Amino acid sequence: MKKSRYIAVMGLMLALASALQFLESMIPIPLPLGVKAGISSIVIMVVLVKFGFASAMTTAVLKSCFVFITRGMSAFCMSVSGGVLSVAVMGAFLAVSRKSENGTGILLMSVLGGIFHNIGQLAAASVFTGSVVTFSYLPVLVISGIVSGIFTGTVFKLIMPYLHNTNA
Amino acid sequence: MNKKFHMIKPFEAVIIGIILFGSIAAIFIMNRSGSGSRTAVIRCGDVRHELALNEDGLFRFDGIDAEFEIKNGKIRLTEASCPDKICEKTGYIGSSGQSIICVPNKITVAVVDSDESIDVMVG
Repeated sequence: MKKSRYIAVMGLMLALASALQFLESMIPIPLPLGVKAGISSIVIMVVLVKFGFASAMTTAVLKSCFVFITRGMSAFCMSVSGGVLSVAVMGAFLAVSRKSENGTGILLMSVLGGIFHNIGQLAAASVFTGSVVTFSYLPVLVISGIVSGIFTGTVFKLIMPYLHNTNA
Repeated sequence: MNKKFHMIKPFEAVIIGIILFGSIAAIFIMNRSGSGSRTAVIRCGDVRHELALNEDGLFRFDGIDAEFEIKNGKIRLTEASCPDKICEKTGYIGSSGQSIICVPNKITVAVVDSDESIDVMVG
């Protein structure tokens, strides 16, 4: 792919991820703990699978910068630690599962990404509050990570065939 | 495209199932509701206060930008200044092991058994 085209597509992906993130933050969810479906992570997964690890990491960090502009410092720290850990785990999983030639378990990748996104956020929250009390939320957030991972993974698998038809 | 890409494999279901089961078990183990009296440990940076949960009332502390309400042996956080109000949405907590976290204001509320070694619990 030409470099100019790559830059344009990545810009679109970043805009899409940021817009979805903002849209999701406006939907009130009656659950505590900031449980989210993680719609924008679908975009991150598309970038990871189609453009590789470095591109996905860049998109995740830049998306967090958008969070910093709209929601401030503590939200940025939570977002960036969750995003970076999530992409790192998904990238590692993808590398291992491709080598084993078993076919990629996209659903499991997505679930692990969701779980580690929440673990990263918890780690940031415990650094911020200076307390390990935050980790009492770990089991609930792991379950929420599984649910959101199944959701995003399923959506991702549904849109994947259409992405293969484009040269993007 | 590769057809394997689409399938949910048994090993995926097994791994997800194990993690799910472990989390549910952990919730049941952590939310043990002791019969003794319980105390809420409120921390905000270096500020630290303890409230016994058997006294109803509204509480405010210097240096903590929120109000705490105790009712029927449970505590909740109200009037926090944070934008997302996740701490307020947590609602009432009363079992030892439960907690309320407000990340923007750096407030943590942890419920512990009154006779437990609180310093170990809070870390």
